[in-house]
Amino acid sequence: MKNVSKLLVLVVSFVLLGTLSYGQCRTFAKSECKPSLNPYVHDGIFNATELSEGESAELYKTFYSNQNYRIAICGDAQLPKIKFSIMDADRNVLFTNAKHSFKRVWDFKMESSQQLIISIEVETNDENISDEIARGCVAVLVGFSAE
Amino acid sequence: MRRNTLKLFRLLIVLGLMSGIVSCSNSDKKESSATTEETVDQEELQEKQKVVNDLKKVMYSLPSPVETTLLLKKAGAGYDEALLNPTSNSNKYNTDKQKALNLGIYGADLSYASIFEQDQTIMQYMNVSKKLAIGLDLLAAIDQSIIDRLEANHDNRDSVIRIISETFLNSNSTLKEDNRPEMAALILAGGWVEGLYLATQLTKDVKKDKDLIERIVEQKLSFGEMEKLLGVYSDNPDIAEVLTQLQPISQAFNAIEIVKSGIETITDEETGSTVLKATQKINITQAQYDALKQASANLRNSFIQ
Repeated sequence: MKNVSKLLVLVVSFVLLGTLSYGQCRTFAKSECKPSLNPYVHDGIFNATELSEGESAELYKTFYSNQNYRIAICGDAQLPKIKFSIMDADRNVLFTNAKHSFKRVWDFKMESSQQLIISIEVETNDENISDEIARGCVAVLVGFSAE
Repeated sequence: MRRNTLKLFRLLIVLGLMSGIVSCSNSDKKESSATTEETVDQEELQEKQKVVNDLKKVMYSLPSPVETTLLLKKAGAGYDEALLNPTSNSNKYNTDKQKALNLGIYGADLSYASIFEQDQTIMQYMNVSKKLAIGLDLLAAIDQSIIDRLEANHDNRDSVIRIISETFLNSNSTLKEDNRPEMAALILAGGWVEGLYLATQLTKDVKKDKDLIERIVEQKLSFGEMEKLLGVYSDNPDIAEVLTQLQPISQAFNAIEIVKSGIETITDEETGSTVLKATQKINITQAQYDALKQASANLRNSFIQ
């Protein structure tokens, strides 16, 4: 019974930890990721979430023709490499940073407006196997040229 | 003993991850769900980890009103102050739904005024946005320092745009942090609807205003994203009502055809910048455009009442 109580306390602690960490995600996105959009103007939309190694997420967004864009992907320092890929609506891969040294920004221009899918995946930390699963904030910010 | 401790530790990590996902991604649609049991062995733990890892979060991002009004200006749109939602209307908004939708609407009006460098209007609309933000307990989103910076930089369009973008980020990130993502979605929806309203009111003829009309019809793509974003919170009565109100716009867009080619990527190795080459053809009649314009006006006017 005593062990069950301890377990419950620990579980509740983890739940609270998860809640608090969302605020940290917001601070991280603003302080660590937004500056990498310069000189582009951030579109003002907050796309950030917490991911563990091996987890993935997708962001659907429409990009407009004759507009210059920068996509910036940022992850907490404790996370392994973050792979991001840009796909068209039919899920054809147009770009992946895995072929470009896992760079965190990508600049592009559209000739016609399209909905793109930004797929992000936190790589698994194969080199350093431990009981701890790395987890942290990953932000996907989009900037556009105000020229 | 050590093995049991390890098992317990791993179980807690899995539970912690699950709780974190629930608390931090209310705006995210989950494509699968996980269950836990009080007693698990190593194999079950691995299975649970796999389930956690298979959770794919899906997010939808709408265009910023600053971005869409900038695109409209590039396509030849003019400025017409009479189209804006009068600031005096702000006194009428008592419910959270009204406040959120109209915060989005005023945000789009503010963006429109900023792109056309309308100094006095920018200050008026930032102040009315602040008033509605306070009404939604978003004190930090538009604080006095933002108003002061706007006043100090009013003659620098680039700075003004960046400050407005910062207020959007403050609003939607604070609401998500406060576990009110449905309010953030309503603000975004209000801004999107106002953007469509302004654009359609500035255009009449599908042949004469071809570039602008194309920009407007392209909103069909982001309309789908908005419907999906709102759909995540469809159990919220306010959101459910807005989804119903959006139906005439959906029908109007569905009647218009956009034909797209595949995308070819061309990267400039020197600059690292990529061009996504593709073509599109929009098939629209005057009657179809008029229906979209009317649906847009009806919806927007129902929001600002």
